[in-house]
Amino acid sequence: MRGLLERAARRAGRLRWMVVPVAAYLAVTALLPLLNGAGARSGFARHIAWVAGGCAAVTAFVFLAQLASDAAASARTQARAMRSSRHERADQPGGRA
Amino acid sequence: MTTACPPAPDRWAARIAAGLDRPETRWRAAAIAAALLVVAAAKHGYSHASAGQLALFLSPTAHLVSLVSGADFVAEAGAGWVSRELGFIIAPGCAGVNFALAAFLALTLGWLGAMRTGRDVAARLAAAAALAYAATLVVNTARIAIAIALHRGAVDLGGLTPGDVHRIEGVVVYLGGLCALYRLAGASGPRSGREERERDDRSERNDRHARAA
Repeated sequence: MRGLLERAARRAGRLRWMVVPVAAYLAVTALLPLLNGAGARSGFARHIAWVAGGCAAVTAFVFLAQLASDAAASARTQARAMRSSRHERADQPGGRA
Repeated sequence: MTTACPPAPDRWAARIAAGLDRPETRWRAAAIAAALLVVAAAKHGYSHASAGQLALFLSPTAHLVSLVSGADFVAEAGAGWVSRELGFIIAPGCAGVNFALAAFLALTLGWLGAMRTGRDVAARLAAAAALAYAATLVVNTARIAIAIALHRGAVDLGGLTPGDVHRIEGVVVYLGGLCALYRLAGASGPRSGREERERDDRSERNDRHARAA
């Protein structure tokens, strides 16, 4: 369980690059309007909720895409290793293909 | 004899002072200040801009959307670009200026490492502005084309109003486009996905060996 958590934390650490685009997006769509006094406008809280939800959804999507890509890459590596070990056995004298 | 360690704030102040002594740090600080100034000024101007003032964004976007969706958008003074057959309007709020500003800011921050001289800063800021503008036209066209498809199909997503669906679509397409642009522009650093994966696999193997030992 701890190993799984550590792996998930390490994978999540690879999303660090997203901090800059997400922060830039939040600065333009939430922080600057807030500083310009948009906070008093009705509907601004709803807008912030959608922006925050969208950020969470996109981050989750990128995380899952990264997991899927890792799984595909590790499956490819395993298949390649199995193929090469089969070839090695076949190349040995008396070996079967 | 004991050696006195300077208190943490002093150490930080010394490090900041030492950093500011380096010319590249000063150029980077100037680049951040310039980018923030541009974003704040453009954001303020954008909130009062008319469709005519945003023609630089609206006109090419409307033409690209016409090309992609097959609908005919015509300019209407004061309103923006309108398609009567679809009942759809590309208003000043749809110009994508927020995306352009976020992209400009993100690219500037991502490229800070490459800004060492005044010439680097000028070149990178100009490149960030050009790339942000081009990306805005592409991403905004995609966003509006999807919005038209949703509008045509009148998608029913539970209790969400059409306005909410439009807003969610906007956030997801803009933020997804921004992350893709940031990654494609190499602003997230030179390390590739494969290198990151290999580094993770290595450290996982080391962990396993350490546990086994």
